[in-house]
Amino acid sequence: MPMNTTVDTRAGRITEIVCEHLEVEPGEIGESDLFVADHGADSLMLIGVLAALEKEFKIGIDQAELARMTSLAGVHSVVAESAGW
Amino acid sequence: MGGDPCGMSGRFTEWDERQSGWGGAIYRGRTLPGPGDLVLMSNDYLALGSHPRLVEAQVRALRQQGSGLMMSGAFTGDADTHRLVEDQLAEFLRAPATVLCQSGWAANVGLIQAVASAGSPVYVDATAHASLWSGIQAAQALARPFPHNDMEYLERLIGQYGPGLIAFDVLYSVTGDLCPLAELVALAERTGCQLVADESHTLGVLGPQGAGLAVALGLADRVAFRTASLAKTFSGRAGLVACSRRMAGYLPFHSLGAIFSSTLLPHDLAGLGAVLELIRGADDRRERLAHNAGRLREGLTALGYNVAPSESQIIPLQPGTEERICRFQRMLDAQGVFGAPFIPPSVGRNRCVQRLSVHSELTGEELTRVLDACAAVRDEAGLHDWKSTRRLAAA
Repeated sequence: MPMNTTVDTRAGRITEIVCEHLEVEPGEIGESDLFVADHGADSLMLIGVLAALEKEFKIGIDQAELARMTSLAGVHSVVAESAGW
Repeated sequence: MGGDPCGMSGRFTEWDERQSGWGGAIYRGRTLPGPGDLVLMSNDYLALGSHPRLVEAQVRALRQQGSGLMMSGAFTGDADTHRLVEDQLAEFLRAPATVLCQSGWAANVGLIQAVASAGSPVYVDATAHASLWSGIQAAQALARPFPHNDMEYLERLIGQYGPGLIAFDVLYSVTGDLCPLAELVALAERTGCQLVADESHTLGVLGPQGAGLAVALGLADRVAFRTASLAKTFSGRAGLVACSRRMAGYLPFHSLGAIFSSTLLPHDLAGLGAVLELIRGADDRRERLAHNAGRLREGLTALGYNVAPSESQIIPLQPGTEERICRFQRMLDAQGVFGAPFIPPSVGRNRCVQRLSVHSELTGEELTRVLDACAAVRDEAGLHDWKSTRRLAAA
């Protein structure tokens, strides 16, 4: 699979997981939207996001990283670092 | 009046704007149920709140003792009715001892505040009752949340941070699903943790004589702390902690809520004693409750409502947003079916729920009326477009 396709697939899957837990449609959320302020998320929803990402990508994410997982961009960054992409 | 040092003016404005966004009243200003309407908001699952024996016991206590002594529970003596009711509840729960508290909130906050050390980990289900979270804050312990009922994640978390308390609801008050109690017990024993199991919505409902899930599963002696609000099936204003005798001798003098808040009143205690006897002998009501809950869950599912993961008398209808729940509630109210709205902070902003609480004395005809009402409003409420409905379709 070409690199860009892989990256797009991963990014798409991350967005899907986030949207599933925040109960929003993928089209309703922007890369820099703030989960809490813009989409009514609470920290407990984000625990679910974190656990689902761990399972999906077989990685470990410390709960301290939730402080950075405030937007899709932040989540992409945390997941990429944890997975060594 | 002074200034506004807390910044309330901005918060009042925010609250006003939020309520405007609902498009109507969710709480105050909501149309009241009329005669003949079906009220499915109450946690009085065995419908004992107006039972003549409960009422009579409370009235008798009021006539004989008035409000009793206005004092901290720390001052209650060994011969006080308080101790007698605690002993009766301990026997009922197959526990070495119980400690009565002013509420379920006071039980959870007071217990965790008194037991957890500052900086120690407390593992808490992400959807556990707010009182458990407040207890963790009061203890200045470290909340280590795990996704709802996710045992695998919890075990990894304990591996990372070490033994501590594990706090959870036995039956979740919004979603109506049970915790995996046997797995939690095994995990706690394997990892050196202790359990804080909130049985508020299972006491009176599950287990022999209504003694709860821990007793039903034969796990009562393996759960360090069972807590409960007695404002559900017990129809009172109180809470309890079931624990070891040693702990029961410690808590009333270390739980700040127990020390710095006045104790239960004589008619509270009289009511609890009377309702306990009613609950023990209410197998017929428990059977009717299970039947009614099953019929309503099945009927709603057949109508296209996603009531998952409920497996109990607590049935969530899940419109999603505050605006949607307001509209849906108004439609159901107009049909004479009054549920309980759950909006933030009880749930996430897009996970608002209209909860229907079933009780044992609903008749078959009344259940049919509930289902007819839900059928009548589903199209106008946009049921097909709710996230919860789409989740069901995708499953």
